[in-house]
Amino acid sequence: MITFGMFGAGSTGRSQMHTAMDTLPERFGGLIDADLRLVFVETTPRDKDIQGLEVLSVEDFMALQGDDIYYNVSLAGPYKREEVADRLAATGHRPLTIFDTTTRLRYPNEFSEGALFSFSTMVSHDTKIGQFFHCLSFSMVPHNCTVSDFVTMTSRVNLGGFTEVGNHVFLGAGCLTKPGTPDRPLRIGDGATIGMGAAVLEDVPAGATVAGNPARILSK
Amino acid sequence: MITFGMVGSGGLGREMMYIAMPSLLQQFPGSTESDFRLVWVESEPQKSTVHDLPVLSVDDFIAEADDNTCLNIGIGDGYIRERLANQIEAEGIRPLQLMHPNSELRPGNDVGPGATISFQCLISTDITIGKYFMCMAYSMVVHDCVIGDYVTFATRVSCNGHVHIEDYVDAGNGAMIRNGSYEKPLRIGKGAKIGMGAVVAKDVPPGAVVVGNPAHILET
Repeated sequence: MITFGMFGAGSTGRSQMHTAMDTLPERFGGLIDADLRLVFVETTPRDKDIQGLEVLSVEDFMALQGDDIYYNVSLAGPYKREEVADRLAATGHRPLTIFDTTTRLRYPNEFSEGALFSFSTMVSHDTKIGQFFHCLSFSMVPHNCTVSDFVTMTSRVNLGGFTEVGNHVFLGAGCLTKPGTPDRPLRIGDGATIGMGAAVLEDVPAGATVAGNPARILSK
Repeated sequence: MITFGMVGSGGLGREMMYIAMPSLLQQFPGSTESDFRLVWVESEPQKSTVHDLPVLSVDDFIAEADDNTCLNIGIGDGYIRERLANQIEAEGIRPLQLMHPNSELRPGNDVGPGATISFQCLISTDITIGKYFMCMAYSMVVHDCVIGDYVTFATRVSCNGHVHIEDYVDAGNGAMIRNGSYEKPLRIGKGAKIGMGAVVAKDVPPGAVVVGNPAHILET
């Protein structure tokens, strides 16, 4: 029996659970549905079941015993996601990356666990991706990019090649970044927020919020 | 024999016609291509065939129709779509949903009659969509949106979560609509038009035309 817990039953959690349902049986070598237990995990569960699946409290999920217990965290906020991931990591349960059936991977690439890949996403060659990355629908990590830990790419994010994305960066829907070069990658600093539809032409300092076309700093 | 009529053989109609066969095969399980007859329907036919399929006048289409006749409307203007739909459906001809097999429709959605979901679109979870919604290639509608009747999305429109779109709204290519929240959905008023590439970050009043990043109302 393999158990997979999705922390958060909000929109991303519900969507990605559907992907988990579709892909995990094959991923674990042709499991039948009866051998796979899918649960939502919530801090304070309000519903008994969501989409026909049971909802556990964090405490109950952490108390589960066994080697085959996996989890992912669907919270979009990078810092919140880290907090929950750290808490769950203490249990010995294992983070699991969820790929949509429409996700394309090119090689070589390097992954840490706990990522979520949604509909029509792609990871190109010579890329390196940190822990608990969120890559939502139609987004893509192009060639020679480095994405650090707890980065959130919402939908339709278009990075250019040779980009370095720091920890806890939040990329708003449909933003674009100019490609860097092999000698001089474009850098998005730790904790930066890129607004929806922004066109980023130069480095973004750590902690800054940028928006517009061309992107300008709103606050730091 | 099931007859499917595509009203309008203009650019949009011709693009939509090629989704008709896979949609028919899916919606009538066990059928084969020879069970279906595809025709164009025009108010004033100029040619006898388009793409080797016959062109009928609206009157002839209605006169020939039986219980196994269905239609969709390949016209971008929501108001014209409504007029034609009312005229033809009054004769007992029912609308057929067109859904490209490469698109993804997740659970918990309610999609109205006559909707068209073109190539590589994403309709995420818990979405309500009205009649004759037109969703062209690469567009997406994310969780908890409510879309009215006769709404038109051109290609690559991003409609993020908790957005309420009222009847007859028209969104141009690459338009982006920011997410609302559960308590306060973002609202696009009845008959509003969103320009190509616009980034909509706040409510749009009924009938307004908005353009730009961030989107502002275009005075006429």
